[in-house]
Amino acid sequence: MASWQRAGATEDSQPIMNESDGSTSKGSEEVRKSRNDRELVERVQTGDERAFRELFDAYHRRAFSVAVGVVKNPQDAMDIVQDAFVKVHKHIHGFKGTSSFYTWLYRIVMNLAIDHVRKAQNAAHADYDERSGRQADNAAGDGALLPRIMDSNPGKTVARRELTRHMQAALDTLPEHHRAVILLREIEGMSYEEMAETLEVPKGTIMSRLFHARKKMQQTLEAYLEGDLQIEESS
Amino acid sequence: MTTQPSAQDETLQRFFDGDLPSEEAARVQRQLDEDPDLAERYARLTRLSRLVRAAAEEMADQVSYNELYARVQRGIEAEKQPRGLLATLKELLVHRPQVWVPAAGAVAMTAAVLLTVLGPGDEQPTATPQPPQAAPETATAAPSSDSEIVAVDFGHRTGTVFEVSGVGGGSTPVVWINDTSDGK
Repeated sequence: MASWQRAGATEDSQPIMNESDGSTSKGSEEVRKSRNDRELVERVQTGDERAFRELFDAYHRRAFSVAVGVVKNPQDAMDIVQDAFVKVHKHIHGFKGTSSFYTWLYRIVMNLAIDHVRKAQNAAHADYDERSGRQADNAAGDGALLPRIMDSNPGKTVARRELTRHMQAALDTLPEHHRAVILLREIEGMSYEEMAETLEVPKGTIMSRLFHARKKMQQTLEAYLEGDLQIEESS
Repeated sequence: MTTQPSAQDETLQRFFDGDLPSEEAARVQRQLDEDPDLAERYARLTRLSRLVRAAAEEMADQVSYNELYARVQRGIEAEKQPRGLLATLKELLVHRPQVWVPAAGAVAMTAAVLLTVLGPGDEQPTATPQPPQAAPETATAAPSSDSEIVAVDFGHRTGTVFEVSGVGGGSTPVVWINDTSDGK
């Protein structure tokens, strides 16, 4: 199982300090990654399809995780990630590199995901009863969110399944823009500035949304935050 | 969600997210060492972060990414296929209401061109028009026997003009408007 590479913080969220300019920085790993992205983008722009595959390989998991956190359905998230990479491929020749590749990619993903949520909300007015039934199925643990559990350790499997179910419930309590911020921060490790650029809102709005999203999720996930429950992040 | 973050909340969050300058971060670190309540709040942020990532990994592991990449490839191929005028306009009207006016203009322009080049008594074409390979910003049509399209302004879109053969041996110029090529 792959683990997430976060920017701006180490595994335990200790800030990485830049002694030379007195500010926190994303670290040399992030700089290297950004440079690598730029090279890959340039290669794609010259028609190198292997470079496009490398970009896909670098970002598809996190793009999916962010998308599914917003739209709450894996199949819809797959569609969104697919559409996002198709758009990237289609428009990459016009990508000037004034922003980083991944803020551009996540802007596309987020626009598609939030657009999807809004359309679903509009449709919900038309068929409320049907959707309620589907959500009840998901709440029972048999929905599309976790169709397959591959882990051979039954205890760990159950714990992870429970966690994911509770996490889904916690995310459900948030407006989509708050979900977007906490997912971009925790999964992609974006800085406030990068999130502001991706979501096209001021940095202060990002900080406010993040504060409220965390507060709400801490309340919903109280049992997990209090106890000694250990959740392994990778195996 | 009416609780507003205090100055300490904001500072702790910025410290947690690596957004503080190093001097201020060092000061917060000292406070964390001395204040158990603050340290607990920091620990809760850390635990929440781990939970979100653990759940995200769990969800991401359920997906076949080779299948997803194959879908992306199919999507890219589909984008390369030429699209019919009606399909393009339908998409514009359904998904992009803000471009109704240009879309309607395109319809009117197409109709006007067809009416201009179809003289009275001309037969309607029966062959399915095949779009050309090239898609210039502004296209110049091949001359018709009765009339001629000098140029078509596609605005921010692209397209071209070509002829299809009719049943009775005549031909009809067709204006072909391609899909949008904007950024997102």
